[in-house]
Amino acid sequence: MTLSHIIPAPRNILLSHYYYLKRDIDRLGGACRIVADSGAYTARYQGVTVTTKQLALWTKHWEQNLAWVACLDIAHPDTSRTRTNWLKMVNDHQLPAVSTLHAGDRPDEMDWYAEQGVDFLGIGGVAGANLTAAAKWHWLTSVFKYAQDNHPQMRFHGWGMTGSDVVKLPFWSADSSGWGNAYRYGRVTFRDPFSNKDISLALDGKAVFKHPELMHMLRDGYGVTPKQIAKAGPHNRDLLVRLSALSASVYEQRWRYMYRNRPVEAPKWGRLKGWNFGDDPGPHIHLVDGYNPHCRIVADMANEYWRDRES
Amino acid sequence: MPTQFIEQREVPTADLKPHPDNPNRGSVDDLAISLEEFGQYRSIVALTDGTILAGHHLVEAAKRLKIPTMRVDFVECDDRTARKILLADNRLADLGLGPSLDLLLKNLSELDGDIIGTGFDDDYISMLEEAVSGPPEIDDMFEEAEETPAKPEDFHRRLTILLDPRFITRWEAIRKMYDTDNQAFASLLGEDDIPPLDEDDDDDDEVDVSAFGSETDDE
Repeated sequence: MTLSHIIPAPRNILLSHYYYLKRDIDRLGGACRIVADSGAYTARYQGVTVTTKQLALWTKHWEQNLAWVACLDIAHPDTSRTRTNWLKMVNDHQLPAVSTLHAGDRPDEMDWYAEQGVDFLGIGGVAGANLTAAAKWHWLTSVFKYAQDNHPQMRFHGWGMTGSDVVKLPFWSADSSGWGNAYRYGRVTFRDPFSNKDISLALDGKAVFKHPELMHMLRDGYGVTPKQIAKAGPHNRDLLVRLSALSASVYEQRWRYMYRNRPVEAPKWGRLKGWNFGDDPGPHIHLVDGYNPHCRIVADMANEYWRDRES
Repeated sequence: MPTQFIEQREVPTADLKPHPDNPNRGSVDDLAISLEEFGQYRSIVALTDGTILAGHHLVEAAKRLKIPTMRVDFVECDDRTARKILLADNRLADLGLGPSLDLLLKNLSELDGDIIGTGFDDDYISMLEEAVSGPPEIDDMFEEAEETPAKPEDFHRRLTILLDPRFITRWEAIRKMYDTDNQAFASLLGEDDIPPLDEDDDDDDEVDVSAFGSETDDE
């Protein structure tokens, strides 16, 4: 059930191989644009090692559904090990995997990838790192500055980066797990599709009724009434997943609006058999959730909304 | 039932009366400014007995400005239709996606700051400019970031470990012998420099491909 006729349904998902090792990804297919990373960082904390071979075989198994996949990457400053993993994906497994520059890596690390014909890299190690805002911003802008001056064809995916400062940078895509705060923590940010206004509130049974302007936004923008979502609980969990996805979609639309006169063209590198972006320019935001039913809700929304429009 | 247009007439403002159930709450202050600036550019809509259906707050603003007469389109309709018009007059304007921000800014910009009576102010225009302007130039962002450049140690990770206090004393003594945490820690490991990580991406391991997609249970 698509709730809103005003807000486009989200259609971009990021899956982690580790979480979806045994999941049926065919069930997420269709209008959804699915990309994948290894999930190796999380796996390591659970005592599990993800290997390139495992990631590659899994990618090939689901390649019809995957738009692109990231290789196993190693945090700064081990760029050579990231290169080794990338080469294994490309040469041993014939998969055009997407590699990653990590916070602190020299921007000219992208030279080596550009020489291999790559025009698409991830940028990681920024979200959740112990970096000061100034250090983070200096490094990020230096990477984009270097790309602009030396490899203007290079496109970037921002791992876990969708903050209001980050969206000033011309990422082709990024991903966010923060969109799920409503159903995880009972706290939600509704982004107004009619303006740039956001309303954040706790779904505690009361707060939603204290925002008169929210009623219009919810009813006309999101297609629900305040009463339906006043208190978060199992009874409305699926509904909150849908609303959270729509709110993330508003955020994505604002980002795309910012770049409407300077669209970020799609990269050529990384395209797997399941590439269904066409040449749709960025930026795009991919929603992340390790819990399969939530991704299926997003996939259902995407299928209902986009299939009609694209057929 | 559709309304029936009766006539357009200039009538004393005092003869116009609000609908008793009008739910709308307009900004009389802004409408008064607009009325002073532009005069009455749109007719009030009222029943033939003077009950207003559309334009309540414009009439209120006119009364505040002591404007003696107003132009009114008089209509006839039944009570139900009158009530529906009352609701529709404001509600219908709220529906849809709202104005195009680009065109809104274009129009406001062409007024060169002469925006009195439009209901917009300078803060609103600044907000619009920010929304419409697109992203900043990378060169500008980089130049600004260069004022507080990142240092290599900004990208080091912090390690928190729980130790017997006697280890802390020993660590502090060792730390004083070196210039950096890295050098001191390397000495504890018996290394001159940071040792390479063990290779752990063991691609010789068998992969059970039959496990892919094997779980159909969502939980």
